[in-house]
Amino acid sequence: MDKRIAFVKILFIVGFAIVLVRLFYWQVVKSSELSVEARNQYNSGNIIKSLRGEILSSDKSWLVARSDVWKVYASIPSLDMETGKLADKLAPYFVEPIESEADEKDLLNESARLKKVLNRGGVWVLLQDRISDDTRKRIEALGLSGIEFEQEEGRIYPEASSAAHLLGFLGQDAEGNNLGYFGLEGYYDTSLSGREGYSYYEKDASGLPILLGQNRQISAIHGVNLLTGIDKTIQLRLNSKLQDGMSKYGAQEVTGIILEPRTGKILAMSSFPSYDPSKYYNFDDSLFKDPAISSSFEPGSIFKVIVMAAGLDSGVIKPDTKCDICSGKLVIGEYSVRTWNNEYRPNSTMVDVIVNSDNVGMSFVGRKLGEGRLRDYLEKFGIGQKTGIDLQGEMTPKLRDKWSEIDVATASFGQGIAVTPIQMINAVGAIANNGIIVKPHIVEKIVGDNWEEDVKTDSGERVISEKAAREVTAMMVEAAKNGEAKWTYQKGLKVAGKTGTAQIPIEGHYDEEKTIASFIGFAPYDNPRFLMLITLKEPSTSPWASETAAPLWYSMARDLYVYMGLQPED
Amino acid sequence: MKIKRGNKKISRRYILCFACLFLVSLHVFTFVRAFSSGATMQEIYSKEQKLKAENSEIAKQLIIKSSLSKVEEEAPRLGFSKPLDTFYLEPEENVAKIP
Repeated sequence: MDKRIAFVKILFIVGFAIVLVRLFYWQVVKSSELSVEARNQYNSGNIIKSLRGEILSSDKSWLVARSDVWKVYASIPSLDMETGKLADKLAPYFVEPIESEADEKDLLNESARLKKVLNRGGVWVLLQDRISDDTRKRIEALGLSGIEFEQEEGRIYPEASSAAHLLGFLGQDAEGNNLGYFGLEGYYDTSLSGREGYSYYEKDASGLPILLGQNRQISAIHGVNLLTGIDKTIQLRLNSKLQDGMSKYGAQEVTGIILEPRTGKILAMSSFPSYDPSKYYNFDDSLFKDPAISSSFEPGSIFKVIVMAAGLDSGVIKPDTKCDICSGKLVIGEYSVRTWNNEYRPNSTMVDVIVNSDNVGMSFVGRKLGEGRLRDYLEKFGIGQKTGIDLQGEMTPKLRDKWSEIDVATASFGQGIAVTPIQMINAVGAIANNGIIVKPHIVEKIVGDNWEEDVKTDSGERVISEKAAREVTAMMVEAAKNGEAKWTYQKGLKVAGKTGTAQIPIEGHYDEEKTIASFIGFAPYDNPRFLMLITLKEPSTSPWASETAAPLWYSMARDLYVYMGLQPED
Repeated sequence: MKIKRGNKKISRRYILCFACLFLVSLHVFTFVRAFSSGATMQEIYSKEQKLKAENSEIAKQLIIKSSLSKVEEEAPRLGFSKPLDTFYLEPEENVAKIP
């Protein structure tokens, strides 16, 4: 009997020990793992996406707005159609519109791509991303089983591809997150993106939220809107003029920048060939680079006004100083400096040198300045340094370290030295702004949900005296009236301008036929409201700026006079 | 008097019990209601999402239709044409008035 009781006792103790060990296993050893599993059953968390900021023009209308786009997935186990058939059915929605033979070829390629993707295996397969809401609805209407959609953030460009370089585009990084590239989208990516939030709540067995459960929420901080100084009317007009000019003069590339000289505010900026930022993936990468801020070129004669301003400010020359080496070509070592038309005018004044765009006369100014002083002035004008414009992708060619006599001579008439279009217009901006250089900028204000902040503008730095600026301006007025481009001069427009036809360096020598034609100028010269640079790369109808860039410049200036309500002179 | 006192005690106890029972029932009732309101919350959330989507679609339409390029396209149909010439008005010259 005692044995039996003892046996039962032992049985109970062993049973109790087993339960205790098991409990220890679940409660202590497996505790954290089970807690996580339990939490996953009754907790739920969502990322609250932050809305990407919009980019607005000066009248607060949209240059870029946010929109919803969709990713299309296939859930392979849920498909009830043969993959080849499904690919043929979906392809037309991903290649729209189908208008030409090339589009039909694209359609076949897309169908083949989809087949390949669908047959690759897996459970969830991404078929296409960034399709519009309209396309999503039309695909949904097909009632295809196993086709799912996921919302993502996209962009709308109401003015299509105008200002594509300026705006940049919204792409994705290696992890598939949105990332702004180039232009404003790239430069202000962090401010535009904002910060994601997170919401956490407890859910019941059917997955519905429990009102009295533990709920926590970290709100998303939405991206800010950028209010730019871009004037949409001027921007669209510049686009149209540049496109017309490009085809009319048979140029390879064309760039136009218009800014307000007093403030450095960019009113319009455009380059062609361009791309459509909403379909950037269909374009070659080389088109994404903005030529206005990242393409360097030898400016040619438009650079003469900078060197002349330096000469006048330093006091080494005066407007009526006579050039004593202008009677013929200038020989420096093994090189000869000639005028563009091989005509020489002995004893030309400095005004004549600018009006006739005399290379020998400019070499005279360069000699007077000397290497050190010329280099100092160029640096003060911002040559060889980034302007600091608020756009991603700005680059700068460096100024050479050692200058020989021929380098000083050629730089004085804008050859053998490289600048970007934005550097060039920024430097001439100092002349238009009474000798003060200001940083060019695009964004005027950053606008949040219930706040806005002015972007601090540069108060400017004096580069040359007011007197020197006035003297160069007077020379530019004469150049516009009586220079090579005088036939295109518009009476009454009060223009101070200068043409520039630069040869293109190729493998250590200059191409005999290809040129870069430019015109830079501001108006009205006594109270400048706009400063504009137009450059045409390799125009084929004529190599000369006076016959290509200058007429294009005046055509745009005429429109600006009307739009800005400027009264021409009698 | 004794019986009356006893009755009072009994009725107080009853009242207390009823109050407790009522409060417990109320608590359970509100708790159940609150817990089951998850479905309503979900429905409201879905409606909010739907409205947001509609709002976004309307905003998109507004942005596209109010673009300057679109207005320029539509202008001729609405009877607008580009000016062929520009006239500038000169300010009136100051002249002595005849009294």
